[in-house]
Amino acid sequence: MLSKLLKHEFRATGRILLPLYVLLALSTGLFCVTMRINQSYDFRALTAFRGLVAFVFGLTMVGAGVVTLALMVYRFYKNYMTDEGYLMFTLPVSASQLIWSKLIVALVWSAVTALAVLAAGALAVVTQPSWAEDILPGLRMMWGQLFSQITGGQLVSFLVEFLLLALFSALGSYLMFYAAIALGHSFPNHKAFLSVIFYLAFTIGLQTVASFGGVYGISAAAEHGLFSGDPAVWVHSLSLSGVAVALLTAVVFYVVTCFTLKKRLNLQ
Amino acid sequence: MALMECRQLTKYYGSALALDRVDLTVEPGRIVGLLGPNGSGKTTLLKIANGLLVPNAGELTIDGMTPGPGTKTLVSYLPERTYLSDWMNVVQLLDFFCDFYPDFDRDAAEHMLTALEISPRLRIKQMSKGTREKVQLILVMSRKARLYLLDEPIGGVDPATRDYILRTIITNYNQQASVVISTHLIADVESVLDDVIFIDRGRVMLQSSADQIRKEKNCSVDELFREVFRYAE
Repeated sequence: MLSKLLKHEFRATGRILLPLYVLLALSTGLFCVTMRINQSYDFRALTAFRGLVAFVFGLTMVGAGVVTLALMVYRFYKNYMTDEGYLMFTLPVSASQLIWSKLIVALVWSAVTALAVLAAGALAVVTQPSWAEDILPGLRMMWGQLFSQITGGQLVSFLVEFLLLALFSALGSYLMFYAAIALGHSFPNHKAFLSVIFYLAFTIGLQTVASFGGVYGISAAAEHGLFSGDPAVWVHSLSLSGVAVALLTAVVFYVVTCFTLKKRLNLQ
Repeated sequence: MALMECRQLTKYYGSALALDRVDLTVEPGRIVGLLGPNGSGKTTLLKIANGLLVPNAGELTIDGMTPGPGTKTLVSYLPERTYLSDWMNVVQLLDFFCDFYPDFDRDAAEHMLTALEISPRLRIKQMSKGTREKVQLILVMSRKARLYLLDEPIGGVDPATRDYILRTIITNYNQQASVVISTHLIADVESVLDDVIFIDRGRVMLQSSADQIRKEKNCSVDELFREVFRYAE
């Protein structure tokens, strides 16, 4: 049943996000072409047009990220907490399948959007006339310096840790929205307002734990002489701690969301 | 064994009591009228049966199971509001129901849609309120479910549509299945009911067969309803 939920969720979200990616591709193409034309012809109108295209390009880059995040959160609210919930919660599926269907789709589209925005940014840089002369040599120098500090094996483990951190952070971020919405809507009145309050409370709570945990954790690590050793070791230790905290946060918000949808569902 | 059973079912909304220790049973193969004035607890009862609300006390079982994925394969539910995503068209809705309900009869649904001249490419947002209700009823009644829970299926529609809806219910449900129709429009549904349950302020006032009421009380269900729920003058 999860695969069927995923299929319909991709259909529901793809109809908005796919045109957005087309728009991003078009604005990137226009930006790249406009930048090159401007080198040959220096008209005021063209300069103004170039500024406008750059603005639209920046807007679509930022817009892609904002729309993806907003759409994923809105889908959870709209599909489960409004009238549509009468259909979704009477399907022969479990609460955990309902949560995972939204979560997996949110992670996939977030990754696609991130890659699309990165690709658009990279394309915009690579097609600049100054790319070959100024930017590329600078990047080569940075890359060389990076590899002189760390080995290939370390780079791979850093990359894996970064990807795990990104994955669990994204999971935790979406689940924090879901938990706040589910909890807010489990009350008979002021559902939207309470959802916002829960989200703010979660954010403040996490910040507090992170601040105190970070300060005390780093102090304890320093006392044990962690930072006097190999930098690669303490960077690994810090990033693995980050991965563990992100995973724990995601698990807590998942349990809260699942429990609320199972035991405190209160569709009006 | 009863298909649906409530034992001491109690539900509060905050401090307001919506269901007060309700005991009732629905036997297989019966069409049951869940009858009561507005705010009597009919919708709350059906929402608990569908797992949309959790009771504060007591128990509701369907085929011996508390509401969950297992009971949802047995129950076809028509809520009192439109639950269809407005961006979807009729074909997408048929795909959706086919995917999730193995007992969904697509041919029957398409036949009813054709009879009502509803285009398969029409989106929900392009439909009138009455057409949306018809589409929703067709989807619900095209399942070969064990229990149909219909919340106000004839509320807010014109008399011709009302006749069509009742005809659809009678001709489409499986004879081994039960149908619970929640309504306050007794006269319109009386002719199709086998059993009736009167509910008021969250309490079951009466559970009886329609024939027994006519024989013992010597009046129609509608007349008895008016008698039981008459306001003090």
